[in-house]
Amino acid sequence: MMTILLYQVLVFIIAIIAIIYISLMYKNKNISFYGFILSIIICFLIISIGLYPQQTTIIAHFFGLKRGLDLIFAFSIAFLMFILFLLKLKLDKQNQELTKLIRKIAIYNEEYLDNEDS
Amino acid sequence: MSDYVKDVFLVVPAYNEEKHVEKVLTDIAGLGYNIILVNDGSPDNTLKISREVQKKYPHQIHIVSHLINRGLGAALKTGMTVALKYNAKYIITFDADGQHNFEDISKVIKPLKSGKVDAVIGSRIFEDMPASKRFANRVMNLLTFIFYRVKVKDSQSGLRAFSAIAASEIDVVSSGYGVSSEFIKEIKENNILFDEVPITTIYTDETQHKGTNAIVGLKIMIKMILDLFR
Repeated sequence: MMTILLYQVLVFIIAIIAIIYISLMYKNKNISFYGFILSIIICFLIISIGLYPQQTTIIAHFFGLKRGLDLIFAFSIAFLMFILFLLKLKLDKQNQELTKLIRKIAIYNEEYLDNEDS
Repeated sequence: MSDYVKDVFLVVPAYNEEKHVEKVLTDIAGLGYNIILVNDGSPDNTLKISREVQKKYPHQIHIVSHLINRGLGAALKTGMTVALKYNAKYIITFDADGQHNFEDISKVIKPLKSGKVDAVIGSRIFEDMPASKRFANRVMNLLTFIFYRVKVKDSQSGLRAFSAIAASEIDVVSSGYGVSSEFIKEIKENNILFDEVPITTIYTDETQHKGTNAIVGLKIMIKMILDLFR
């Protein structure tokens, strides 16, 4: 019989709360469909790893690592770096859009003042 | 206004330049040039002082004001856009912190007026620079060459001149100091013929604190790397 440890219960509960929260966000149209699907997949992945941690060791061996935990750390860091990079690009884009808006307002105001003067 | 200067527009980006803006505007306007002053969301009295000077030269000085600070590159692009709107034939970018010599304006226009080139970069004399700035600027020249394959004497110079055709082709998106290298990139990508002329720089404690230093250089390098993924 499989023994369930405390951390596994906690991981399960937290992931279920996350799934409910994400579903509500999607229902209220706060996240896109792709964001919703990706978040749900990640939650199920966390549940799977929490319930069957020994399975990660098999995958770790496949990648040449000894422990499953090392694999999780390596993938987490790579994933976070990727997300950070995407966010940086997105932030840059938003900044450019904001600059365009500020420029349009500045030019409009300059034209308006010119017309007032003449 | 003499024919030589009537179609020349100087784009002067200004952020917190209340100490220098009056003298810079008065001196340039006194020479007869048209000015587009871009107040880049300065919280100090830059805009107020500029408006006062504008009253003395209403037909020469045009003021555009960003509601919030968007950086040197954004201010330059705004100024160039407005200058083109006023049918400028030649556009010069000129820093508002008093580091440029007014006599250099005619030096950078000369190659444009001769019709041989469409862009001119004013090259500061590196030997006159403080050591830290000289090092940072040399690194930036090297990075500009590595990333954009253009060898220039001074990639970070604030004094540049463009013909109207070149200015309309150049599309810079960098908001901060990275715009200097981006101008070089745009000159290359649009096959714009350019020349470099030596200029003098007036170094004061204030001007030394601005411009390219190690941190700014690092930021520009990160920007150049990110640009590769666009």
